[in-house]
Amino acid sequence: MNDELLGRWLAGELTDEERTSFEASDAFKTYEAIAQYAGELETPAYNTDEAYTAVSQKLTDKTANKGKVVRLSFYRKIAVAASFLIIIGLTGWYLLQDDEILKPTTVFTAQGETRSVVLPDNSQVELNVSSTISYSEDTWDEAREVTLDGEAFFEVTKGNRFAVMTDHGSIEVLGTSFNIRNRDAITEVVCYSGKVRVTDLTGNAVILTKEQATRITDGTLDQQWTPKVSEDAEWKNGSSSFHNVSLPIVIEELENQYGITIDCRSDISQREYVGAFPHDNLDQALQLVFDPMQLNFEQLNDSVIVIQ
Amino acid sequence: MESTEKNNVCEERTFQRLFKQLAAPLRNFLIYRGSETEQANDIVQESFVKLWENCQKVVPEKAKSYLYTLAGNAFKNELAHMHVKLKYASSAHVSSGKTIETPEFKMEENEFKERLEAAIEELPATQRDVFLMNRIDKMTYGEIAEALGVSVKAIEKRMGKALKHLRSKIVEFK
Repeated sequence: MNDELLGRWLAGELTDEERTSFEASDAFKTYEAIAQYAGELETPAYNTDEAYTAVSQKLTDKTANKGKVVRLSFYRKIAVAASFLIIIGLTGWYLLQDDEILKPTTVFTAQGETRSVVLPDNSQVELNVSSTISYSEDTWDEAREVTLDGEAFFEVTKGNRFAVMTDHGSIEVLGTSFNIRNRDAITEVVCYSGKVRVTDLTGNAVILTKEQATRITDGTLDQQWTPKVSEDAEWKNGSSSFHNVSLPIVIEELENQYGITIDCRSDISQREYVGAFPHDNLDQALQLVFDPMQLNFEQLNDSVIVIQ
Repeated sequence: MESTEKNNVCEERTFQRLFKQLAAPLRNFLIYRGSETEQANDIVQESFVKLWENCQKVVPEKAKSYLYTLAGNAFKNELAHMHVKLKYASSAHVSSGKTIETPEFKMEENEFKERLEAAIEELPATQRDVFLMNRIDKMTYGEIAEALGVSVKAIEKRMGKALKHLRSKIVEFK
């Protein structure tokens, strides 16, 4: 039984036919016992009211400390005005997202799956594995906007502003090609042609031209570098490369590309990786990632790799 | 625009409602990820302080995914095992003498419970959090997907993977 079907069983969303055949299997009773007993587990008590009082107190203290009147310098005034405009922009976008009448079109890929999407203006999006984009066809003519969770390569038809929203910031262009990798705490943008403006959550912006790349970590622009680029994103040619990327993110990308599970028995949360791995050779990929990090790994079965 | 005026996160009433709704499951999420209880409580507090400071930028509907993103980033050790012991709700210390029997195994209820707990602790964090958010906090897949910013399909997969993992661990030792 595949993972997705098993997941849907627990949510009570199988068809009658699917359920009947599942319930006839030996594994069914085991799964049922697991689901039931796991549901009886409890975490340590949490007193929401007390916790709220503590937060209120902290907020009051903070406000009291900031109570002094500060005279804004000329530059600060400009900065305040600028960030205000960005807030309006963001609010407008969120409102658009939440309007139920405008149902967005959503396309996603599973582990090991990539897909091409043609947007209403013929702009091309190549979605890498485990990624989701959504956009609204109804408002496309007014605003070319897509939201991205995951990694995608864009070739944008020339025209008005074209924007990609991620949970760490936005990327805007006027007809160009670029790649966005939005995984966990980071969003990376690599510009392949034309110009791209990247704005983080605090309103700081940077303009990228060909062969320039930048990264937003936790909502703040923090790194710029100049990768060698060909005409296409490197993942489309069958490899993924990383520039000082936190190792857990690289491991997740390995899991997504190969549909495997990697169980790490040592603390690697603070380590960073520079390098690349291919998408068509698991043994080579594992060596290229773990050998330079001096981590030993062991392949237990088809899907689980243990690192020590 | 009027609807956000009334329903702004900067309104104390809205902020309080969000806290009462989201603080406990958010704290549990951090425990599932491998955080200690005290640390998890602190991260929840800091996350809500940040939400308040950014209340102009975050609409109430986005507050949930915003908080989970902040909290998840604050506790980065995604490969950590679970530190906090979970407890069974009923008859925690009483030996029931009950036996659980399936075509795959037969064992005492207490032994089964112990194995299940050990197996849950060994799950990869991204399967453990999703599995326990659904089982313990009774969040639907849609709610979990919204909080973590991934598709419902991804949650279905992780749940399936978690179940398979747990079953293989429980049956393996028999």
